[in-house]
Amino acid sequence: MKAQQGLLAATLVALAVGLAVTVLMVSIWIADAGRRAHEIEGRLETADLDAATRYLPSLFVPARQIEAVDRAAIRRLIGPSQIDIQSAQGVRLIQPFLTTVLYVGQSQNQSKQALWVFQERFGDQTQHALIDASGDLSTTVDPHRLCFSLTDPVWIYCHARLPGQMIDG
Amino acid sequence: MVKQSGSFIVGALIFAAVLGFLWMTEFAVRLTDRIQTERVQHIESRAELAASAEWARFEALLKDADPNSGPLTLEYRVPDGLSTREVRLRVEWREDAWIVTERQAVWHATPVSP
Repeated sequence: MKAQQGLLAATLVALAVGLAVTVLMVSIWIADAGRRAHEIEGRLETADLDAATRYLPSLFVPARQIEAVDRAAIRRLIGPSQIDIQSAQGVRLIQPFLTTVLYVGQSQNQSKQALWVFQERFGDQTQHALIDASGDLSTTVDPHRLCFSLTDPVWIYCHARLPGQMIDG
Repeated sequence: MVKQSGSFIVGALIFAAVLGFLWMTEFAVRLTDRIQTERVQHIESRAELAASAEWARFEALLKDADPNSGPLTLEYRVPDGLSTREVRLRVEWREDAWIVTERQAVWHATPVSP
């Protein structure tokens, strides 16, 4: 009888310890899941920025003229659009028969703001979102370099002037 | 006694295997991140080197150019972060200086990236 009671007590203690360890593990897993989700989001954001870093030279390098433009100028350049311009500044790239404007905007059809690329070639206009970006876009210009920065995600892209290019503030 | 220690060893091995698997997964993710970051930094530094190389080639070509020969077309190739960049510039001698009037740049794929 005593041996049975001892076995029961030992089983109950083992169950209690097992349960406590399980609760502890699950809570650690839940906390870690949040961290992992945040980390994965950051990793996707970094992948987008890396892709943008590879893509942007294909716009900046052939450009004849590179200039920082304000919101009114962006509105004038892109005309009536479903994308609401959010950034105070943008970047305009001019090459023969092609004008490109980079700016942060919010499309009526998308839930997030984005860095938009507007292009006009022989009167044909295209707009595409390059990366998710909220907040503002600001530019820093000197005669040899143009940099534009985003506030969210925090990111800076710089282009050094090349032979035959003009950079205007 | 032998059975108990056998179970204990099996349990410890399973625990170690799970920990090892988690560690390896984390290690692989960190390694992938580091490789991607290094690749992008490499592309950025190659783009900067390409800019310096463009200026060097431009100045070298202009050094030999004759101002009295009329408008010139300068062509050069530089490797950059994307592939090989081929640039064509149209320059004219105006008011005692060379002025670039046209700039065209196209990329050619590099079959094997260095």
